Amino acid sequence: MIVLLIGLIIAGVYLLAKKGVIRFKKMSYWVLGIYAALVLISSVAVPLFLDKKPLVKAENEGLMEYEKLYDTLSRAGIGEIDNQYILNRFRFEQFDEAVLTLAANGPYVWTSIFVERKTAADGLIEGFIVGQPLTFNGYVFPEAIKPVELKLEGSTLAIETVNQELNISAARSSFPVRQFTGETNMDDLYVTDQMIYLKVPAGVKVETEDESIYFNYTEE
Amino acid sequence: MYLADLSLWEAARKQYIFKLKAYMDSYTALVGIQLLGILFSFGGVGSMGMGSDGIDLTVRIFSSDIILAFTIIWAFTTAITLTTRPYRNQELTFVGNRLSGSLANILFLLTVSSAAGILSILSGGLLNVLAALVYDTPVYNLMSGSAELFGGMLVAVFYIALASALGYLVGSIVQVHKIFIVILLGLFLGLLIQEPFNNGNSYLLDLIAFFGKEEMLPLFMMKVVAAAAVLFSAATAILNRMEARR
Repeated sequence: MIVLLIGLIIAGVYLLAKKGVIRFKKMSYWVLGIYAALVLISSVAVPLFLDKKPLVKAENEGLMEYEKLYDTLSRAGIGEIDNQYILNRFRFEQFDEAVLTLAANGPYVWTSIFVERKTAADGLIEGFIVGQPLTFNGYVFPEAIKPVELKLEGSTLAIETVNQELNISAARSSFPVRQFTGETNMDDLYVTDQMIYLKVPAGVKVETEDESIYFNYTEE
Repeated sequence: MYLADLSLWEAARKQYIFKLKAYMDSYTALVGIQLLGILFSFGGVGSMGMGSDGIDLTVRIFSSDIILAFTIIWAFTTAITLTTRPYRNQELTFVGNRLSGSLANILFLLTVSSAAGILSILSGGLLNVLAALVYDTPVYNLMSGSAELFGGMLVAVFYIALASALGYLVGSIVQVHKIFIVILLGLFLGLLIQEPFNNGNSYLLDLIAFFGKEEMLPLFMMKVVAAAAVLFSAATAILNRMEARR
């Protein structure tokens, strides 16, 4: 499209020059005129080409937030975690086995697993994937990172991970704008490890034979 | 016609209009340098990568920072070019003196700096459009609004005008004697490498921070106007004295 646009501008200016409507004494006029027209059109049209989803400012960011999340999960449980940090939820009903076996499926991804033993034997396993969405320069990209998946097959709860290759492109203001708007000159990229929080029915024992899986029971 | 028949401002105005038409090649150079800046910015001005468990992340950032930097260098060299003998000799065809010639040069530099500043900020739009068309991933918009864009143009014009004022002074000093090329280059390199020998202090960085870290626009403008006035005045005085001597 941009090539078509350039072609149209050049053809238009050429025709006008040939008919004598506009006259160019030097090549420099041509070059400057076409370039100026091109940057002007691009500046007006640029919102059409950029991603149209409105970006959300991150409320909290930084490593402390991950530590706070970890601490809250281990001490107070999932009930104290704000919804914005719950990246995915799972419910597995009618679980009537005595043992729940955790298994990793996919490439190795470090995840902290917390297990909460419920007081009721309601046959319901609930799983929560907790973490901070990717933040870049203070903006949240909630869908950029694919959360860990949980799948229950018989008495085995599979933790499904995938290798993710992410490419993010962003257009930001130039330095003369940033100097007076308080926008950062240092790019700030933040992504945390994901944590898994499981609520298992009373009487269900959780175990694993997978050496890459570590889990902790929450404080009761 | 004698100079006495023509006021200084009238003589400067006539030379200024002549220079606007005669030095069209500098506009071509401006377009060339900005296109080069776009090319250099195309891979992203702030690419960063990050690899953690299961995630391989690359972020590409597009802005017109490199284009502006290239434009500042263009303004600096264009100003130096104006002080060279072939350009100064062109003024002899006009009724006027070296002062009117210098005034015309300053007006010319301020005019082209304005055009260059506006184009350098707007060229960011062209860069973003090209990036969105060429790369597969969506380009997110982290830019400020249009009001800030106009403010950015004004600030860019001031930076470029300041660079042209510095270039005009450097060019004038070099015209006095070629030895100043070596002296000024040595001074610049000395400023670049002085930090480890000066307890981590750098006069060059301090000077850049004096303008670049100013967050109040009116104060920034005052600083640039004052600095540019000093640089242009010094250059004009040097060129006047030099011509009187020769």
